[in-house]
Formats: sequence, C-alpha cells, structure tokens
Amino acid sequence: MITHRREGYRLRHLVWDGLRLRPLRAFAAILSIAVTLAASLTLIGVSESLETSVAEGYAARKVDLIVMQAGKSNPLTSRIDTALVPAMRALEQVARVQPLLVDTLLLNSDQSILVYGWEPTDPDLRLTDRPNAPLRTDEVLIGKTASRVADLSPGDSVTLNLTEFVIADTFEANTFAESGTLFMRLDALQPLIGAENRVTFAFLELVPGLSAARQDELRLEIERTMPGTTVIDAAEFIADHQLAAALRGVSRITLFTNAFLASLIVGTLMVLTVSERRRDIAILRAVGWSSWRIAHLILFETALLAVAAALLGASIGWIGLEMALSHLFSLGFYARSMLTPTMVAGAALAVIIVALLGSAIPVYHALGIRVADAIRNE
Amino acid sequence: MAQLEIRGLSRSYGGIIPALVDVDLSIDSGEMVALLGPSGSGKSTLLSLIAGFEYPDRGSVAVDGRVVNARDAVDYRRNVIGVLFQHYHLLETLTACQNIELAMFPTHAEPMQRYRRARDLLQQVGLAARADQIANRLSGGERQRVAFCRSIVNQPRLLLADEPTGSLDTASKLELLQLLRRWMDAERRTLVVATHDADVASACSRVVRLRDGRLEAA
Ligand SMILES: Nc1ncnc2c1ncn2[C@@H]1O[C@H](COP(=O)(O)OP(=O)(O)OP(=O)(O)O)[C@@H](O)[C@H]1O
Ligand SMILES: [Mg+2]
Repeated sequence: MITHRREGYRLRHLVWDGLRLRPLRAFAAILSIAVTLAASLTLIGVSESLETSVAEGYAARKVDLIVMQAGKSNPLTSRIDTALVPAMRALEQVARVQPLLVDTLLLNSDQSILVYGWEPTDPDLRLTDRPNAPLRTDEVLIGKTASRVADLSPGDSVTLNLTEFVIADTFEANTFAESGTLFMRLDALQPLIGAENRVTFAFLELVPGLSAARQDELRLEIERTMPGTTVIDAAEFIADHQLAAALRGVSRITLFTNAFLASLIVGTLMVLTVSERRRDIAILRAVGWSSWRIAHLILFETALLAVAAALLGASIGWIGLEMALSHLFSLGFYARSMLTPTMVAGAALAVIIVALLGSAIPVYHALGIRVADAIRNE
Repeated sequence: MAQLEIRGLSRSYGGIIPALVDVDLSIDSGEMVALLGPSGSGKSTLLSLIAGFEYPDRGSVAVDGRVVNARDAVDYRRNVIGVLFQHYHLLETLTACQNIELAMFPTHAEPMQRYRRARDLLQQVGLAARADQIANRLSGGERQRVAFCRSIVNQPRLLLADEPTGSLDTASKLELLQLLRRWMDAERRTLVVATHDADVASACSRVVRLRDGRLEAA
C-alpha cells in the first residue's frame, strides 16, 4: 500500500498487508463463508416466501377457521358432509362459509393435477369477461402456473378423469400451491370423483372483533355439535403446512450447521495464519504490543474477511433465491421473494459475528505464544 | 541503588546443567556492559529474563527499583527497554520504515508522527534512501541498523542486545558499534550486550563473564 506514506502506517495497513500476502487463503475463507451464507439465505428465503404466500392466500380469502374431518393427517383426504355447511352458516359468530372440495385428477390421460371445487357462487369462480354469468358445470378455470406448465389456454378442451371440460379462463392464485391447480364447480367435481355431498374443508370467516376466548368456544361448539369434524385455526393450519413446515425445519437446521461450519472455517484458517506468524507476533510482543493489540490485529483481519464474505454471500444468496423461486414457479409453485434487505443485512451481520466467534480459537492461540520461545528458536 | 539490580537469578530448562545459577549483578545508569561467555553459558537466558520474556525459577530482576514481571511486562517493554537480536527479527514483508513504526503503535504518537519519527531515525543511521525497502531485500548490516532504530525509537532507558554483531561483516559491525556508542554518549542510557566479539567487548565500559550459567569473578 502506498497510502501509508501520506497518513503513516496503521493497524489496518498491517491487516491488509497480511491478507495480501496470503491471497489464496483469504479467497478460500471469503468464498467458503460466502457460500455457506448464500445457501442459508436461499433456504430461509424459499421457506419464508412459501410460508408467507400460504399465509397471504388465507388472509386474502379472510379465512379464520378451517373445519375438516377429524383424524386426518393429510388434509387432502378429509371429507365432511355438505349438510354441515348450512348449519355452520346458521352460527351467529360466522360471517361466511366457503366449502371446498379438493382432489387430484387425471388431466388429459397423461398427467395429474390438483382440482379445487368451489360453490358456483364463490367469488373464486367469477369470470372477468362475464361477471354475471356463473361458471358452467362443463367449464374449468386454470391457474397461471398450471396453464404455463401444461401449455393450456382459455378455449382449450381438456379431459379430467376422462370427462371433457373447456377452459373458460385463467385465474390469479391466492397461494403458490393454487397457481398450479384447476378451479371448477363443486357440483361438477363431486360426481366426477364419487364424492356426492362431500367437501374437503369449510373455510370460515368470523364476524369482526371476536375475542380469542370466544373463538375457542366456537371451535369447541362446532366440534361438539358436528361429530367427526375438527376445527383448526387458519394460522395453525398454515404453520402446519407440510411443505412450508418441512422447509422451515430444514432451513433452521442448515442455518445452525452453516454458522458452525463458517466459524470453524474462519477459526481454522486464522489458526494457520497465526501459526505462520508466530515469530512476527512474538516480535510485536517484544516491542511492547499488548495481548489486546495482538487480539485486535486478528479480530480485524477476521472481520475484514467476514465483511467481504457477507457482501459476496448476500449477493449469491439473493441470486440463488431468485433462481430457486423461478424453479419452484416452473414446478407449479408461485411464491414471491420475501427476503427483505433487513433480513439480508441481519444474515450478513450474523456471519460477521459468527466469524468473530470463530476467531476466538486463533486469538487464544496467538496469546499463548511465548516470546522467548518464538524468538529464540529462530 | 543501581539502575539494574539482579538478585539470585536462576533459570533451568530441565537439562543437566541449569541455564542460569544464582546470578547477582548490578549495573548503573550510563554503563555499557559486555556479557561474555562461551556458547551455552546463559547469556541469552539472562537477557531474556531481564527483558521479561520469560520467568525466572528463582530470584528477581529490578529496573529503576521496579521488579520486572513477565506477566505484565507490556509497559516495561514499551517504555523502559529496547531489544536488539542477532537475527534482527524484523517483520520480513514490511518496509524498514514500517518496522520502526510498528514499535510505536503502543505509544500515544499519531500515525503521521510515527512515520516522521521513523524516517528521521533512518536518516540518522544513513538509511534514508532505504526507508521504503522491504526488510528482506536489505543487507544484514542495513537490517541491523533498522532493528537498532526500532529498539531505540521509544527512548528506552535500558538497551538489551543479544549478539547484535553476530551476523554482520566487519564493516557493518564497526558501523553498528559506532551507532551504539553515539547513542550512549548522546542519551546517557544503559546498554547490556551479549557478545563473542572482542571488538564489541573492548568498546564497552565493563565486561561481565558467564560460564555454565554462573557469573565469573571479574
Ligand atoms: N528454550 C530452551 N529449552 C531448553 N534449553 C534451553 C532453552 N533455551 C536455552 N536453553 C539452554 O540453556 C543454556 C543456556 O543457553 P543460552 O542460549 O542462554 O546460552 P548463550 O550463552 O546465549 O549461548 P550462545 O552464545 O550460543 O547464544 C544452554 O544449555 C541451552 O541449551
Ligand atoms: Mg545466545
């Protein structure tokens, strides 16, 4: 560095000179930490994005409670009687009931697709170009993603479980999962899958301002008066959303292992550096450098590596997330990126802290160097 | 009381012969003392103990009435002593100037002051033109002059030198001796120098001999 001629040699110059002397090691440290950060960010990003889009979907429908068949671990296998729907509508705390039947159907004899059956009057089935004429029983709506993946557009004919339907329109999905599905009338879907008088869920919107205690009462009342049903809080249902929950778990675990790995990498590389500079450190101590100043030197170097790694890792992570989401999109999941600058900054800061924690090992190592030994053995 | 008071100093590294046995030594301010003795007689050990680089097994070292403790010798190394080694011990990848500046990091001097002072000293030892040269591209004589600048940069009261001329040719040796003399005359400080060299010994005001870790009667 030439700059020190104008401002004098400083600790940062010493740190920088140290890094410059070992560019490969600095590069290895930066890259490996950056990659662990990027991997964590991508995973967290995907998990957050999926979870948020599920939550947003339910929020858009104003779903507070979900009634389904009791004892079903896979919600899609739930079946409840349509006769319960009017009973639910009769409850005064309930503002709106949306019954929904869900099943996987054979599309054009060669692929399977998730199909949602809504009541004919449900706003989900509303057509943009003929708002007053409801969807016919031989018509379906197709999600944007499904339309793209299956290469189907309005006007096309399709067969579902060997029965012919016409695609009336595409729809904007509320959730990432829905974008890959077909919507049709409940009364058309029921006979198609032999589920007459059956629905999978009833989505309940409650009257505004209901206390948590009153909500719990209502849940118990429904479960008591409608045997065989279970009532789930929509928030709980989202939290239990299998894919999102699994991803969340994986991303948390990966976060910890990655943090551990990153600090181990930094620690090890810095121990190597300290070992190589044993003599230099002893010399600095001999001319009056304190333990703290030596520690400062190592922490500074680590911090510099960590900041570079954080910047690189955040960029790779961001790109990785976009790529992951667009891949998910092509698989039929729609989720917009929920990674905020704050989260990225937080993750980057975490990396720097983790790296500094990792440098506890080399600092300990450096402070253990005995001046007499290190200088005399030369 | 003498400036440097050594009382009953002993140090053993677990070998058959102890490195230092019961050494008593007083050195007054302004003295230039040569520490003579065959290889392995304990000269380096004695200097290392005086510098607070290691602990004695027994006995004590006191400078200006204060006992040296290796545990918190930071202020002592920074303010009281300067050290000079046979193998220079510069940071090889830094310049002559930077090596000297580093010794001033623990002081209150501003970076720019450190820089100017380092250049100033290099000029005084005839190395102004080599100030920005990387240490490992300097000759032995030049390196030792840089190391000398570093050792006196914080104006120590006591300079400890362990065979400072051991790796130098005759010309460089005489040059360094002259620098040491000049510094002694100008600053009235104290110098203890371990050496095998007769020229160095004869330049000193007093000679102390070690054999098998013991002081020989003068
Ligand atoms: N770190 C150490 N571990 C074990 N033995 C040591 C260590 N340092 C010195 N010694 C032993 O202590 C004795 C005195 O060594 P010292 O280096 O003080 O001698 P010296 O007079 O400086 O010799 P030289 O003229 O060769 O430099 C020697 O026997 C040496 O082998
Ligand atoms: Mg020696």
